[in-house]
Amino acid sequence: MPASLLSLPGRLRRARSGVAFVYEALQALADHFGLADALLVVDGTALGRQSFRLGRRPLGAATDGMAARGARALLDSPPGLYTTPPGAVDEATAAYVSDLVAAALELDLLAHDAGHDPLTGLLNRRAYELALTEAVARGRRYGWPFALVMVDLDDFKAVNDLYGHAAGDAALRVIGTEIRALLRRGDVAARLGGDEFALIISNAASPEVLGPLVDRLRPRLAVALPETGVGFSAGVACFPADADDPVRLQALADERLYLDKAAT
Amino acid sequence: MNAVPDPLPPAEDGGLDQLELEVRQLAGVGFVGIARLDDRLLVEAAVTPGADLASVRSEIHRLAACLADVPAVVELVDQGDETRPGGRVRLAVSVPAPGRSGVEVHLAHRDRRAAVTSDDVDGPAVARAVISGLGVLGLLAPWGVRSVQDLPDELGGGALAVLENVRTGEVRRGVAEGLSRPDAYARAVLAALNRFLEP
Repeated sequence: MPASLLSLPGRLRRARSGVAFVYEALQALADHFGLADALLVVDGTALGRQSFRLGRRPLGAATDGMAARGARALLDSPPGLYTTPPGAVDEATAAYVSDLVAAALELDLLAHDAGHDPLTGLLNRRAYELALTEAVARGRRYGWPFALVMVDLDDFKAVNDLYGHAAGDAALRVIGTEIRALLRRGDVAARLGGDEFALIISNAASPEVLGPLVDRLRPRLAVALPETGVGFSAGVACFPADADDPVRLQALADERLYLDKAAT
Repeated sequence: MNAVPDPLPPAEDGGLDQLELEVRQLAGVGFVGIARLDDRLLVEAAVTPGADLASVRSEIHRLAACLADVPAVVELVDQGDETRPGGRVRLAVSVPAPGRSGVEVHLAHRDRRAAVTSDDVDGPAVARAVISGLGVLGLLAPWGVRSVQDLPDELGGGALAVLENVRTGEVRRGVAEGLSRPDAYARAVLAALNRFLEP
């Protein structure tokens, strides 16, 4: 087997993500075997059967051979590597790469699960703390301000009591979706536990960021969760105007959150 | 919000990696393709039959809004309708035939079922029964059995079915594992033929 393929396990360790590695591996195959196109079908991962096409290409993207044969039809083929030209890669090599790709996908999922709240899909507390530390580090280095917003649902316990915990979980999922939909790329949203959420809003230098955010979130929740009457309180602290370290920022945002809660 | 210098954009491909992983976690999604179309992002996902297409579409839009830096165009491909003109035939169950030496094979295709019994428990007998079952389901199956054999453990085990189209001479091979040897034989036949079945 060529060195470029033998080095794939090392590249998997260094890859920025499992998904990125999958396309690196397909590209390495394409480079070595002179492939114009390739579609890899893998099975046995936690996600079930998954297929990847060289270069992240959509199914209809034209290349000589694969598109004409119908990349779509290959999705339902037995697990394996389908190439243009056909059969260009020997079975042992294809199986070796398939195993690595399946492992890469599992590692990606493990990493994802380790950093995300399974109920809402938002970051969990551990990932949030890392994100806040990184935001402060970037802010100090490049002078980028940001706002830390703490959100706590009001009377959420009543939802669980009145409608049951399944309904409470469903409501939290909806809230996670609505919060995520509000944010721009580069912003961070996390569920810290229970009914407490944190948002890191990039490029926000003053507490004025809170007004528009609340104005957009409140009607979304009212529409998404009718009849539950779920409301929320929020507090904001800004880097560097209010504090320039994560602990102090967090404390200030919490303090203002509870002032807001007390006022409602 | 005060005007401030834009941060360096996160690595574009890193965002796409995250987007792809999260899209692949949506129920029913088994393929994701992504391409740039001028100022938009094309996100194509192939979903299995029965998936909630509207929900998958809206979830992809939501994820793309969070993780991509340009608006997304979402295209969904329904694997069930377009990749298999005849649709996939499933092996519902294979059990010893009551009072006989063969195997009773139950096949399912969309809303139809067929039960056929093989003359024996060996590979060719089970394969012939499966092919006759396809006919019972109303599918064209002009295939004969060339061989069906167990694969040794060093090749991963399971069974290999080699079938030949009696009209064209085309040869198809299928490999599958099963709960028993006859079960693996039946699944290997379906693995060989499922992409080539037509009503």
